[in-house]
Amino acid sequence: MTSLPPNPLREGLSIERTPEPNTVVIFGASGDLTKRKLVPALYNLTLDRLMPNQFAVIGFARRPIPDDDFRAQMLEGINAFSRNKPAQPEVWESFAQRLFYCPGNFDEPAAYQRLSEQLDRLDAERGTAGNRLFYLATAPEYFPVIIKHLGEAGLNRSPKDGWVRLIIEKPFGRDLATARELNRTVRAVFTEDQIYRIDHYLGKETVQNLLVFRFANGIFEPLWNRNYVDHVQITVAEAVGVEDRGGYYETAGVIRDMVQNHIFQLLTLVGMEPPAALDANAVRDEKVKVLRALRPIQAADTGRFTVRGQYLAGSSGGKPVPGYREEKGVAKNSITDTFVALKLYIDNWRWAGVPFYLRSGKRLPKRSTEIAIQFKQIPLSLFGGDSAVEPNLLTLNVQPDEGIALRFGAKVPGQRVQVQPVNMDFEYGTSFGVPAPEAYERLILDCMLGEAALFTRDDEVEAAWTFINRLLDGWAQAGVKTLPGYEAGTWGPAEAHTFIENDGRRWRRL
Amino acid sequence: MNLTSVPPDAVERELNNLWRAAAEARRAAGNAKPLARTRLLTLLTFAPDLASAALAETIITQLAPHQPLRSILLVADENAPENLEAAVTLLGADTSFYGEHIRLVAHGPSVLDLPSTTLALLLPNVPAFLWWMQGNPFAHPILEPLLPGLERLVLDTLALSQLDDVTTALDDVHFPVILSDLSWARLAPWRYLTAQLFDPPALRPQLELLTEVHITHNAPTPRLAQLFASWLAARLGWQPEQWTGDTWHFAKGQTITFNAQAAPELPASQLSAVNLQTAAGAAFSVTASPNQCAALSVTADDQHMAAVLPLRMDPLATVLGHELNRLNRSAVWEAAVKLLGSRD
Repeated sequence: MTSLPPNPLREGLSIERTPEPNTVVIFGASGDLTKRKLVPALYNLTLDRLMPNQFAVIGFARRPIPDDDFRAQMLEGINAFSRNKPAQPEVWESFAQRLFYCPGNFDEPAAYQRLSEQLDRLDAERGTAGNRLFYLATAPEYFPVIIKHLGEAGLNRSPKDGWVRLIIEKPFGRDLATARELNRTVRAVFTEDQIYRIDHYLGKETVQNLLVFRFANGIFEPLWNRNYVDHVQITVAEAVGVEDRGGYYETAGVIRDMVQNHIFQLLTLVGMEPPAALDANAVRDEKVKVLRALRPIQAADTGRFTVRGQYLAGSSGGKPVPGYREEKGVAKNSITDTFVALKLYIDNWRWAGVPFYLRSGKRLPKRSTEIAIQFKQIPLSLFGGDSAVEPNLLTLNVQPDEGIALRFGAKVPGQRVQVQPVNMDFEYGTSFGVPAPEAYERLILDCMLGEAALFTRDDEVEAAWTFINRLLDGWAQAGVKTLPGYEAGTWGPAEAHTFIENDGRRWRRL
Repeated sequence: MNLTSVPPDAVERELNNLWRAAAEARRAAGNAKPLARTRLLTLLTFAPDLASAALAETIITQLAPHQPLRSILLVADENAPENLEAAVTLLGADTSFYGEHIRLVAHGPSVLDLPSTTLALLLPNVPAFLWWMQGNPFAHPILEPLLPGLERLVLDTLALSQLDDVTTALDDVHFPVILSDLSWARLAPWRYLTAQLFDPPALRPQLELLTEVHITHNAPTPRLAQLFASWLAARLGWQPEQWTGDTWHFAKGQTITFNAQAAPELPASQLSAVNLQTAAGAAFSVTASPNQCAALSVTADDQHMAAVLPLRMDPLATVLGHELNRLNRSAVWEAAVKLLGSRD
């Protein structure tokens, strides 16, 4: 790629760099993700003046529809799901002229030839400069065939002096073997620096703020270790059930749907050492080290370190909801877990002996993602009587209300010395008047800019799967025929509470 | 605003009373969540008269939900017997409060008492800004005693007939605060869109080939357009030579021409179009259209590109809010205003 001096007119602007002209090709253009997230993200990036003017989108899917029908569908998506809606008419008209459609089957070589010709035409007519971003927004079983055909059509290399990048949606494999196989398949066609494995949690403001919080403030890092931290809780709670994804969920369960990706991303950001630099590989090197330091859970120990559960009929949002086995696409005797609690240890000098309690589940009382760092209790309380001297607690709320809170003890006004815990809160929504971009906006933009820090590397994926695989094998060996149930709208099975209470601790009330 | 009059030396006590009363009212209403007293900064505003003060309070009310703050409004009311009055209120109501507002009205010569009264009211540990609503702050006797308490002075170069005092302050290494310009902030959308024309690597070399720039505006004075022109010239390294009428000439034959044109369909006192051309006929333009959009157009190397993008002309409260998020100097603005000041 030719190196040009930066645009001098951009100096001093808060957006100092926009992507080069490019074309985004979305495989799976007729799917939900494209309509609800991807095209609205591109539209919002355009509104925020973050997109180059020479830019195009090609939706690739099986059904043959004209460009105008694709544009109309995307307009519906923007009007329904964009954070800026309805679409501004003049801006939409201009944006819509950049949307195109390429019908074809994923295993049809001629379709890729048509795509290649369309890309070349856009380069000539629209100045998209041979830069291409291929987004695999399809079901995972189509990833290998699409990657293979992209390679055979020569689309893995730019015809000009440009770049080609590939975004792959999660799940990346369903176990270690399939993840390794997928890595082999994609690396046979693309180089690692072309590959962007997306986990949209990494695009969330609070998740990015975790690095800033840890490494831009001198006061926290000295306490961020086994000497001061009693334990860490990471919760990813969903109030929804599997809805119409029962068929997929039966093959995945919560461990693949949430733990292997989202929760492990949060775990690595909490547990990592300060990187030498903020570049992609320096950060990801430290995250991989955390995964490699996880103490494996042996088959015989799955009962001590894990609890699984499955939701039963109950109530959510004041309405009755069915149990998991009554959901569409779910077997009546399914033993797929919809809830899991784990106790993990990171065996390194920073964290030795500090338990990390992770939990995630569907049909819990509310949607909430939180990291809680509970510090050790004071060695000796000087305040008796009615005083409630609780250990200090730092919580990072990822959703729904992104923010950070610190709990500390303060004296209650009055004659007596009475201590009460109080919270010091920072909430993104009320502290900064600027609305945060959606995660996909940040991630797609970063990929266009060639910034990979917020994407998962191949060794990171395999290290996560190495741990999870052992756990899956252990559960399979245990051969359970049924899982503890929990009523929908409650915080998981009773066993999950006993699990942590046996350690003299409690799950956070969210 | 519903302010409570207090003696100037009782401001803090009365604010504490107001916060306590708000907290008790909340508890009485059954709201268990404690009232949070959040102030991210102190904003001083200097209003030269009572009419400006009313406008300032409208802006502060709009600003506070986005920037919880302590606001201190300094009002000079010259045509009255000497007296210093104070009044206070909380910003927000019922369930949400966004800080507090103090109004200090200095009648007659008591305006000289404003700095000492104000400095005692600045919040520790958060930045302090002074927004000078109109006129030249450097000519006013209360500025210098206030400077030690401030991080940034926000003024509007559009309101200044000369820029000498601004450029002198910028050149003074001992000047204790950073300067900010609301006119510069208003030009941000135009700077972004113009910059965007030259983002594609293939078009970037055209910047060095530009020879003519035409800037159309609908303001009674060309100062905003001239500031934009100065930015462009400073970024491109153009050396100014002379002005003839509405045209600014540069050393290598480049020109920037200013056209005043009524445009009732567009917001007042703004740019309405920027056109840039090379000698070889390449043309780049940003043209404002109604509905807060702009049409971008590029014709170069036998290629033509057009796009419509938002051109958000933010209201004053939003523009001011952006400046309150800035804590560093803007070398780009300083270069532009010095280039423009060299003309005066």
